[in-house]
Amino acid sequence: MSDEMEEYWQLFAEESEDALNNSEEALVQLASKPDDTEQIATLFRAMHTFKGSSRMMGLCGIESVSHVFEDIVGLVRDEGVPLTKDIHSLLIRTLDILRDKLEQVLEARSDPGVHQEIYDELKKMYVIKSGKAPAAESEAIDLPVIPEPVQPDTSSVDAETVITDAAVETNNLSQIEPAESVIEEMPLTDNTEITESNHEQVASSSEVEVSTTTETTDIQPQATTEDTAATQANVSTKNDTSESESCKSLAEDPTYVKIFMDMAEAELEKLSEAMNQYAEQEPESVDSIKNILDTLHHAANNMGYVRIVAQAEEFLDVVNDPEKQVNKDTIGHCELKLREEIAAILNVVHIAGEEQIKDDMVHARKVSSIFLQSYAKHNDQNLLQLNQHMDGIAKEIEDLISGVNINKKSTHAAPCSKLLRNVYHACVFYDLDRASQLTLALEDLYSRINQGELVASRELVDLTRRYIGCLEEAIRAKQEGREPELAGIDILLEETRNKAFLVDENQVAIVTHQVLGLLDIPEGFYEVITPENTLDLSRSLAEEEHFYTILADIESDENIGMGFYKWSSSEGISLVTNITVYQDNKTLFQFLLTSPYPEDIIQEELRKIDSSGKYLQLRACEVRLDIPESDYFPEENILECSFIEDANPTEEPEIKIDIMEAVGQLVTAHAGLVHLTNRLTSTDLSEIVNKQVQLAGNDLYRARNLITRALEAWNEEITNQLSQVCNEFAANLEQFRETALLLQDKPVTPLIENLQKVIQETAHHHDKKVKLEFKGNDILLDYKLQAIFQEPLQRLAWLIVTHSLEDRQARLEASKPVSNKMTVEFSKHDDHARISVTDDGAGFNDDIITNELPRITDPLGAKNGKLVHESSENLNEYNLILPLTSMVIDGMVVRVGSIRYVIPIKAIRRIVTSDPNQFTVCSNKNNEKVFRMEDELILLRDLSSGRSAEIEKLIEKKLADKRTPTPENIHENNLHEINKQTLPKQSDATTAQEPTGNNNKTIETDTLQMLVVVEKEHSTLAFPIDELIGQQQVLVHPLQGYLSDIPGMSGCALLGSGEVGMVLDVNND
Amino acid sequence: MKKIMLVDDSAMMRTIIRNLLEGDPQIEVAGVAANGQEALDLLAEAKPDLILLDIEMPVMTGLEFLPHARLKTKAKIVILSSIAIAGSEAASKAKELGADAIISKPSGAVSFDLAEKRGSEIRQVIYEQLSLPMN
Repeated sequence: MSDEMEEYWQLFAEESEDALNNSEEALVQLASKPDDTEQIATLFRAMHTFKGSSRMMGLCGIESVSHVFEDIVGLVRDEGVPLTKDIHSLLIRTLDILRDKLEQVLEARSDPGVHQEIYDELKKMYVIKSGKAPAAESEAIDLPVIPEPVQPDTSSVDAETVITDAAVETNNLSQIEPAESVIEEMPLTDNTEITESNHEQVASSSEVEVSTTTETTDIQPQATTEDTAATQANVSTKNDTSESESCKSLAEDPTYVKIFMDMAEAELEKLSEAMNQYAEQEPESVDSIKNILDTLHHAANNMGYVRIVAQAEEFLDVVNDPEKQVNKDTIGHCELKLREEIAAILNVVHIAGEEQIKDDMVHARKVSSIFLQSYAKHNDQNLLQLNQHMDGIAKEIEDLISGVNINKKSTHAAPCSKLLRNVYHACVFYDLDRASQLTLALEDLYSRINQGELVASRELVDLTRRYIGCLEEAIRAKQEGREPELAGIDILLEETRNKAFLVDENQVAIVTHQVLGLLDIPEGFYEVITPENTLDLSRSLAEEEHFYTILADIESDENIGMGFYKWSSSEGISLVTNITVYQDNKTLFQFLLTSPYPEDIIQEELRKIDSSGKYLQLRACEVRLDIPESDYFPEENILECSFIEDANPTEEPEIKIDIMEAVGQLVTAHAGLVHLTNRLTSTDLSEIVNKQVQLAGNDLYRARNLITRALEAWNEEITNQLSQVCNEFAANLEQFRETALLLQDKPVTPLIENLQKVIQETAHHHDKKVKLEFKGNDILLDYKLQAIFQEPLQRLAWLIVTHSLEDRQARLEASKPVSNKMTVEFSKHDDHARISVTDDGAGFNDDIITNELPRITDPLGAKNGKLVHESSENLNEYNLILPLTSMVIDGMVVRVGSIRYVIPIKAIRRIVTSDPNQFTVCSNKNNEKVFRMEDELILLRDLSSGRSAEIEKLIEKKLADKRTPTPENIHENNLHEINKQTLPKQSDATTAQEPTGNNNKTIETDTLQMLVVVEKEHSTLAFPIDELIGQQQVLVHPLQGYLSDIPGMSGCALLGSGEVGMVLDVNND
Repeated sequence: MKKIMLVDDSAMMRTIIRNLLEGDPQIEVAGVAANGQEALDLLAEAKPDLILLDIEMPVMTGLEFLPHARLKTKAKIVILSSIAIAGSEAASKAKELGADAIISKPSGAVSFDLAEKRGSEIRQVIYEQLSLPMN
């Protein structure tokens, strides 16, 4: 016996002994615990090994017995057959017999033959327990005849050992090609696939080819050459297809996903080490990186993770290119992107559990733990670099302040932003929630600086440095298992958030809430909204978009999740932000989005994704109009009325949107203004000066030039920006005011309808026929005025119909048409609204006028209105008049003493100096002196008491000095007439100081006072003023309470300066 | 020279197959493992081009090993098992899990000059999988 064979026998002896021992031990264990799956598996495996070894040695007798033994254990292991006592007992007996047989074999080194009795018992047991013949049956029945060895023929396949894939996959033995037919008809070429082994039954029973052929004669060779070739071709093709299909499906298989996760984690760990080595320029690091990338590429490719594959390829491309290798940033960037792609997949897996993962969802998720861990590891380095960049930014600030690089963009902001992003991942890893928020807030600031939206400040640098210190301490505490001190981080977070909103201190809340407060959205959004979000919301308001929240369960059903993500990025849908909502042990997301589409369309779209409506719950956010005005508009009262119950709701949405648009623009303009103010206040001009002085050394001339240039540059920039912001603000404010006024104006339809009803019923009751006509019924009128008009108007109508209109008989007697004619006309004038009611009836008698009309005039009078009654022979006219509650007028703002007045521009005839030479006393009228200026008769009036009397005296005195006052004495140049279209916007004190001509040398210039000449009803009045402030458009509010008694004033207005001005009533005297 | 890894819990089978292949100038047995886990641990070091894999093994079976192999190695996987008979669940499963070929274990061949008979058969499959020219 050759040494080799001796070695095999030795191995067989050892392995068989072990197998039988293991089998026995397992059976002993199973005697007390027959359902012990581990022991059943051990028993199966041991007998399987024993069988295989026996077969290998050609010991068919013991192999066939052990094979049926294995089949029975297989029934227990795989098919739920209980290990009953009879089975157990039989197996124990079999084991004893096998031991005996093994001893014989090892002694004789030959096959001892089968133990037929035990074999039959085993076979019977198998049939009983399974209801089918054992797999090993043929082996036992046809006891092996040791065949003649056949010399191998490597030119053709050892065909009985080959079966096609089709045979395997269809599980149909009839498709197994008989060996000879295959050999004859299908000689293998290099391209022919050998994919399967021989059928074990055949092989084991026949040993080798010759007998196999005879044993399988019942299997008819049906395949033709073409069929076989086709089968082969199919095998090959199918392999390709199945590879492709399996690639798609691997990501859906939890087993593969888990393997990939573990593997990727390990490979990323290795990658970290390799990258460290690369940083230290260790030559073998490149190969290590390549190997890792190759491994990841292969695995990701098989999984179908195309993004990882692409990223690994990009990374490999860089690593393989010596030129690209030089740039460490490029390699670092590749690493970052690869990690992010893998981390995203892994995190989706963590979140989705065993559910299917789709590539589309990858970017909707946060990074995973492996990714975070990696950044946690490098956090110290990131913080160190961040600190170094702070030095750079501090230097940039110094340059900026000194005026050297006033327009230069920061080169440190972008790296800071990137580093902060890395640090954020570390914060998440260490579960430092507030620090994560703080980091993101800072990241936001630095990316704004990078984009030029914000200017870095010393304060920010200081804040960032404090942040680094706090974070280092917090992470250290976490690493040491201590509870970190987070108070400092909380304070910094607040400071940073304030910064992030571009405004100081409490302005943050005001600006944010001005926008957010208008939307009926869950409180949670207030916490996550960013300055960008706020501006986005403002813009959406301005564009009249709709606001929605969607409570989305996007993880329970992957198709819905996918569908939602796809939809949310479609045109017309803007996701603003989202918050996490925990509900019934589920993590849901609530999205805030804007869209021009109305609710029904959005709802319809969502139903396409989630037909049940369970996973995507839409809620339209209404624009809140019940906000206390003091919360948002502390200075002006103009929105109050618009929020009161609406008489005509159909008009409201459009107006609401207008006002929202105006508010949005105001908020935006306000943020810009505050930002500019911050710049102004935070800039220390003395530093600019000092810097220039230092630069100039002892050269004072140069210092002066440098300082001048620096200050001029600064001044120009600020002036330009300020001018731009102020203009925008003024324009926005103007639009806001106009829109606000529109809110108050409503159609008079309700007034008309009620009036018609009163007239109709009353006329019917008195049997009077009325032909009613309305004029001006399409005007819009302040709804408050309409409410005031309502009762007096109806009462007047009732009175007219009852007492003035005539019945048929009376009208016939008076030779009038049978129908009374009654006309109601609505009109709106500059400062008042009027309803004229005319009728062609008999008019009122004195009793009615005395007793009833006060019931009409009193309510009007209470609101500064009145009833004007005019009757002629054939027509009675009643005018109900009310001053407009709020109106915008172009006014000239003037100052008299400390009081501001607004004089309506339309009433101003001219503005002149009180040069007595211009005047002549014409007459006295009701003890008032009437002066004449040019061709006009002018009455002097006071806005504040006493001024006109002084001027009167002055004029009279000067006139008395003149012997023969004639118009020729009036020097034309002394008249400073200012056309009202070109009125100065600023106070013009020089007007009063100009020379007034030779004839006036005796008049002291300081005694001259400006007069505003106003046309009021049928008189021309001149009002002395101290200062002409300028023209403004103002919103006039009516005077109320005791102020309503102030004569000559129609209301008050809030001026641009923030002061209140009294508005001159140019209609009433 | 192509690298082969043998994975079988039977020391005898490992020895027989190793002896079968060792004389081949185009093939090198680069690693031997007694179960799937050992094979996984050995993968990075052995870097095999082809793995001859048994199915029924302790610790990690051949079928459990296959998904790992599919992601972690580019090596061809040839199942060498007595239970992966045609039409069996094990054979179907092995194919499904990415086995490139399945051949049965040699049986009764030890005494009939295994190296010349079954060895050539196994070698042929290996050659096919690795696109090696037949001698």
